[in-house]
Amino acid sequence: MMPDSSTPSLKVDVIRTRFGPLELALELQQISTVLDYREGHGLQLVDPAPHLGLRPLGGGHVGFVVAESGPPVGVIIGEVRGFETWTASRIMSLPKWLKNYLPAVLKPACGIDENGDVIWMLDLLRLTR
Amino acid sequence: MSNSDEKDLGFGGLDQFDRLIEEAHRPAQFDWDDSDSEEQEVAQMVSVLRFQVGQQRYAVPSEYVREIVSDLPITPVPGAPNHVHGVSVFRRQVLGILNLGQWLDPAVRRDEVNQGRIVIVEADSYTVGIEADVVSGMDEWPVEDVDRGAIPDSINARTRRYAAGIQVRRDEATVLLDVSKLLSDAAVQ
Repeated sequence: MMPDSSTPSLKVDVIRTRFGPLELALELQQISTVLDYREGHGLQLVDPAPHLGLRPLGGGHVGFVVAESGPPVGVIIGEVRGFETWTASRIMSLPKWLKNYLPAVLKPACGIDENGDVIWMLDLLRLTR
Repeated sequence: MSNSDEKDLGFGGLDQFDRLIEEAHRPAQFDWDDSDSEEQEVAQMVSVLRFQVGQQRYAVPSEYVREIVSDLPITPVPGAPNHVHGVSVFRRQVLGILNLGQWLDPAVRRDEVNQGRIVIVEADSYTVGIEADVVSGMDEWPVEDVDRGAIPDSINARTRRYAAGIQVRRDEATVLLDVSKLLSDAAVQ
């Protein structure tokens, strides 16, 4: 198998969402479908809120995540704000001591938006595993 | 999403976020050139930065102070304890922002700081922002004023633990903080 080269041109398409007080980014290619929260009602959904120290939102959108095995898993992803393409310049390293505090369902780094505000990256595979 | 897309997810290995993080992880450091810093005449005096958090006055040796900034947006960190107010991005570096009042005296409730300053301090491997309500300015303290043994019992035990000394002027006590100890403890607990 050809090794993946980490070239500076690597780009990732992301879905930006507002999840309660948090700005989140999710890998677009891990999500097959996005539904309105009411459309996902009645389905068994994975809610990241408790993992993030938040109460359930009870609204927003539901993303169907392509699972490692089995059918897609519905995940509450908050309010979808848009779609973006990120390069490495959008990613910031976190101080090592702060990484220790981060919930396991967040990647140990963060993105920044055009205003320099912090965006947390949700680890969908870990969340749905 | 097509089946071919699914194959690219890299299950069991790195996903694209991981690769992007790896690529981005060349942490930008403050590009300070300390090589030309002149030897200060520190034999008799200690240079300090004084600031205030609530009613309490603190000072830190100026050698640890990198910068003082204001109007820095702070983003809360999910899962972080109360004394970690959040993170800020400054000069393409993510800084943890420490709520000093919460750390040194968790029992005291404080109003939200709206127009505070952030004193960026650096010690050992830690670069941390400390929230301050008021930055009072720089000062030179006689070394003999910095006396840990003179710290009165009226200062709470936790503050005493991180105090390198105290100076009392006109009934106002200013606690000189042991920055290295403060950061290493506040960052890991």
